Amino acid sequence: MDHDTQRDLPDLFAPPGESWRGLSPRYRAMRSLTSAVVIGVLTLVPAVVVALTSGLWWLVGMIVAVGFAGLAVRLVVIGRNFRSWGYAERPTDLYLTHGVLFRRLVAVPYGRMQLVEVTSGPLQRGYGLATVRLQTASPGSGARIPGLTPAEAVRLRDRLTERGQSQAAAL
Amino acid sequence: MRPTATDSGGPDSPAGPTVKRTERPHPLTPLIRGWLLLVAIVLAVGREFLPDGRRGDGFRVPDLRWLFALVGGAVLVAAAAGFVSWWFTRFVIDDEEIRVDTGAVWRRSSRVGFERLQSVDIVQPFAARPFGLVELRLETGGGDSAPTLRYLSRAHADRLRGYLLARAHGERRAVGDDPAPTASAFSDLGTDDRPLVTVRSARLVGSFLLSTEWLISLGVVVVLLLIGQRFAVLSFLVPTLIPAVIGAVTLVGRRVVSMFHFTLAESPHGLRVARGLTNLTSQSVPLNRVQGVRITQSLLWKPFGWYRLDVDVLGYLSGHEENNRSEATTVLLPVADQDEMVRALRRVLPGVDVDSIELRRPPRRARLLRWFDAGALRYGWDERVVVTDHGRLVWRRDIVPHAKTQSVRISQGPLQRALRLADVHVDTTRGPVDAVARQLDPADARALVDAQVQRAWTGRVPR
Repeated sequence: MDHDTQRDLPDLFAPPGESWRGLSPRYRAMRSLTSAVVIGVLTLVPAVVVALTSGLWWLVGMIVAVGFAGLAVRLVVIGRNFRSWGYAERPTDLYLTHGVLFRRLVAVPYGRMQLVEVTSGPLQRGYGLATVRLQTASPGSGARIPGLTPAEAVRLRDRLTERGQSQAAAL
Repeated sequence: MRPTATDSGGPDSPAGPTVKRTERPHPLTPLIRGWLLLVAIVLAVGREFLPDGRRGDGFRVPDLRWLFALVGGAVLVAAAAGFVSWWFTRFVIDDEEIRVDTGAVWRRSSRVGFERLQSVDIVQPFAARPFGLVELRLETGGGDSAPTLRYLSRAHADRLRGYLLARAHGERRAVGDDPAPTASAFSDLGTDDRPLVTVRSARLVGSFLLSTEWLISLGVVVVLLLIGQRFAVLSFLVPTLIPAVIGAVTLVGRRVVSMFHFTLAESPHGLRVARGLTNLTSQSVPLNRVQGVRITQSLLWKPFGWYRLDVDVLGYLSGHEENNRSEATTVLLPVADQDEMVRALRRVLPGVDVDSIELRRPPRRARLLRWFDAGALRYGWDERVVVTDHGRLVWRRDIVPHAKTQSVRISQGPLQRALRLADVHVDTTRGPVDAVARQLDPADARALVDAQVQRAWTGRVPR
């Protein structure tokens, strides 16, 4: 889990402490597989239809090739997106960064967190993953960390709520 | 919210062994309900009749008689329903709790904690004014519907408000302690309110006539009229233009009516805003719950030196420009000159001198992305607040106290990345204030975030 992702980030999104903590590699696996399934279906259905109706094999080959190219691009995007995630717990606040094209870094004080919850859908559960969601009184600063292992998610939630309670400040 | 076990108007909650004195709203309440419906029907029906009359059909008498019967029946039904709901509405406001029980069939009992009370507003709908009755709204900031007591007599509501506000600020006193404030029929201020700023009607109307919405709709109409004249299709255009003109006029009219006689006053517990021509609204602005301030000045207001002030108050969700309703508004001053603006600002953010804050500019390359207002972009901070400016057509300055910072954010899009720029957001609760230091150099942006987090921490935890 302690998958350090010290990389070629510019200064602007540098980790506040020693390094960012990243997501579980299983998250990348999950997203890669779902993309592969979706793109596979989107490619194979027209390919089979074309093959059965017209028998234009060069067209079938092209469709499959486009599908593979799309999948390759998608996998690269997923990899970059996966690596872009990072969070760091500091004494008074949580730093969180993500995004490839539109990058974001948010610093949420523990004392401002109104709600911290752990969710896990059926797909995520199958991969042994969970999402931590946190909310403040501001609509702009809601943050979400997907793809943590359940143990890490629960640890993070307990840590955040505990610190949130001890540092809670009046609105 | 829990159902009470007692029915048939049982006044006492089964929870407490002591028998509490509960009250009903004012006995005239059911009448007002019927009266409100009558007014609504008359307005609606009247609007239907106007075009008929113009067409020259003439009124047919039997129609009218039926109409009267129908309206009478509806009013009676409304009054009966009003009576039932009045009979089953009871409230307690005493040393221990605020509780409102309503509903004949589905009983509901809402309790509000004193410490959760954000603001107590008195609203006087037009139809209730002849009877001297008002609505008391308890804003809790929870986002759900605020418990409302309707209708109470004026003096009673004033007394309850004084008590509730005192309790919300942690003072303990008995319900009857407050000297009953007297208020005139046109302003909504109590005796212990000192007016700070009163917006003169002429200036109010002027400010709305110079507002962008009004001018834009006016411009559209004029352009359409010119086109119509040029191409001789005026007769086709005019019927479609009439609704637009009416819409624009009502827009301005409604604002003027809702903001009429706007008075910002100093009351024992924070500021108080009283406004309205038809519906009188008096609303308390709890100073310790102000999350941020926005100062707005459109280009047209500049020659007059007018400003508009908005505040973020926790629990007031209407974050849009449209603050026409008689509900809680985020407008602190709809229009004010420099002097009044400074006076109000000093009161909302005591001890903050915005003018002495050293404001920084973004790097020159920001011009490439914000060619329209790069010259107006500023940001700065002192030990209490952070300030950001932007906008050239409509200049806006957002001020957020460090202690109220919810989170600090950097965002950077692809273009900004190519130009080595980034935005820093200082998030506050829902409302008009949106403090963004735009187009900073990455190093400055990151330094600002780290420092801002630190300042927010020291602001939050007084030592």
